[in-house]
Amino acid sequence: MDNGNEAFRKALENGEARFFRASRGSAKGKTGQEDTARFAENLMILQECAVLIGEKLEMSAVASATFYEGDDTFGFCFDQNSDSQNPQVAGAIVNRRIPMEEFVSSIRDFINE
Amino acid sequence: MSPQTLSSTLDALKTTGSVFGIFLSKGENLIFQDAPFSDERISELATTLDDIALYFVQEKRSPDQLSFGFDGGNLLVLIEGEHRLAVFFHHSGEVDLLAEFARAFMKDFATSVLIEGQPGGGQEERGRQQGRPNGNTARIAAQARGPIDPTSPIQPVR
Repeated sequence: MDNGNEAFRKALENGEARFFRASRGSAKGKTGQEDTARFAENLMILQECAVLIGEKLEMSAVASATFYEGDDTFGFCFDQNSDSQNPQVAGAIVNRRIPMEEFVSSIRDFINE
Repeated sequence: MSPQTLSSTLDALKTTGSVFGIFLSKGENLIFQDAPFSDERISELATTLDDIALYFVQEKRSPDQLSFGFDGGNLLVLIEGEHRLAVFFHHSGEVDLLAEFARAFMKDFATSVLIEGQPGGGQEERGRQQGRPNGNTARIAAQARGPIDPTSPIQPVR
């Protein structure tokens, strides 16, 4: 999986987060197409889970969501500064379990870069 | 784990930090609840979490801890087999501490279930998980099928 991508290989070796952005139907990242597709798939699943849960709780606006699966941490945050008609999302995957608060903070830092 | 122990342990978790609600379920069935929502809403949410867990099982995936930050509060969900523990809390910075407590509880609870035998409809639940698809799992699956291509549409959150 994207082993030929230098950024992907380095991130895995160093346990660093791979960051992505998504808006208007496209996701972008620097760690190759497969990794970006994986991010996009997880983003859609987690967004739908958030919508389903939010409907039951009558909490419609989700700001962030995160999960652990195996040794991976995945999550996303909405860019609060983006246009509500064109919401921007940033997210990350890292191949280790890191504290969720730290993980979300790193995504927010990425948004503010 | 006796009902008294279960209740006192979860009551203790409920008084931690900014926690304002908890429920524990097995499949769709509520085992314990103490949350400021109607019984009907909690029951529906337990069903939704079961659908989400079922979707992941069907996809041969195994997330065990999920966290959602909503405008009105945060939700931490732990999945351990057929059991789900949901913790509602206000301050997002508490998520890791609460998860640590919740995970410790779930380990103890899972151990006690193994020792005591499974109460309440284990066979029925297993049959349901193997067979019946439902609306929510289909909905998640429909979302997930699309975006394999990273250029697929990203739905705005409603």
